[in-house]
Amino acid sequence: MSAHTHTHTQTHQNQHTRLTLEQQRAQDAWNKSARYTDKHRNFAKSMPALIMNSGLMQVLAFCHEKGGEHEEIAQDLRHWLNRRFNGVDKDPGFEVFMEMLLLAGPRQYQMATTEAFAWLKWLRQMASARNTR
Amino acid sequence: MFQKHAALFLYAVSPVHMGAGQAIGVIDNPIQRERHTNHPCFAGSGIKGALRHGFAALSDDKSLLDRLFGPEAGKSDLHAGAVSVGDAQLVAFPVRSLKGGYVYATCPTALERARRLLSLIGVQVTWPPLPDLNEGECLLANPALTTKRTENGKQASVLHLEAFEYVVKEEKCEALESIGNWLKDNALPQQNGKDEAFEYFRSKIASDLVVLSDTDFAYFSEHATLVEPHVRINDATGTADDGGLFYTENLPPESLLVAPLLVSRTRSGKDDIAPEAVMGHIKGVIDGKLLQIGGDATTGRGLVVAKVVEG
Repeated sequence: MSAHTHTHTQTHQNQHTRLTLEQQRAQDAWNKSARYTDKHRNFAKSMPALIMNSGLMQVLAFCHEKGGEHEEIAQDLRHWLNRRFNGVDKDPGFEVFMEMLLLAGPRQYQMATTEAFAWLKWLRQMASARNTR
Repeated sequence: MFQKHAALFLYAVSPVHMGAGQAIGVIDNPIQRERHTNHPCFAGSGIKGALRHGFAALSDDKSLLDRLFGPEAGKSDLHAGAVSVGDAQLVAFPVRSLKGGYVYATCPTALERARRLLSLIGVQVTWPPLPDLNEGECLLANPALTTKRTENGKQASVLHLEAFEYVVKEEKCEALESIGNWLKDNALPQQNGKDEAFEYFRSKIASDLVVLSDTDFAYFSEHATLVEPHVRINDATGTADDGGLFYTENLPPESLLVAPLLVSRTRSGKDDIAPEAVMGHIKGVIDGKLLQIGGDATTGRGLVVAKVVEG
């Protein structure tokens, strides 16, 4: 089965059965990690600790400046957070997302951080599992 | 049945790694947490092991060791030990603060669970009830921790913890002051020998205790622990080896936990010791002393100061 049909099946299924939030995070991380390389996998593994020690916005800014795999994973994270909190299924882009966080109340900011961890927990496992080369 | 009860306060003076085993989570090597609150905790078995180890190191009488803590598996004269240690629950958690360096953060649930535990083991506490608290608000005993600022023409008092701001509901909360003073007098040792080494921290816990809502406190107790990357250094090159990277979590120093400590008379069948004397032995060896609990001992992890408060 190609990656394309796989994604299609899951989106289709999504419309009929209500998935738990945990399944949705897992599914998103599963789909996104399909194209990950070794470098993605290594950064995905270290990203939660980086956020825990430095904060979400700092890490997003760091990824943007660094580019490459770092920014690609940051894009995937922004995409998920935007879908989860704004119901919009795309990455709003670095500037827009940073402005959203800059204006967010402390509770919203903490929720975004907590959600980032919940998604990254899946991403770091999925990325390792799908990339054993 | 246990006849003597006490509270065992454990105050971390170094990072503590009481491990929960390998986990499939955000951190490879997380610390133990309670399932329902997700607050960090220490399993009673781990504390008991540390007490036994501490006792073995400091006392010469090996027969006392088995009688107090129970014989090791496989011994012919099996009997239960006379000392029981329950799980330690979180009382206060250090959080970086804009003013005063750090504060001892806590929440209504953590305080009420500590109060319940103390009351069940017969330690009389007279903690006044705290005012109700909403998310985003906090209670303080020390006005020096606050920052003043004007919002919509009104002056507001706020507390900055890490990157977050909390509206101060009571700047000099008397109920909280009373709880802080109780902790100062009971949860931390007075002296280490003649040295008043704990004095600074005793005063600080009395003045810089801060109550956040359960929700706000949960954020810090979950995401403000100490997370360290570990790598393997290649001896030949002196640089990090590939594939050796993992992340380990520690409870930060200045955390305060409390566990129940229960004792009975010894049950070895010979020269049995009365519960009062058992408590005396335990207290004599650990009260006010440094214990080592959890893993990574040889890299300075797990140093806690024990304080026994009898019921």
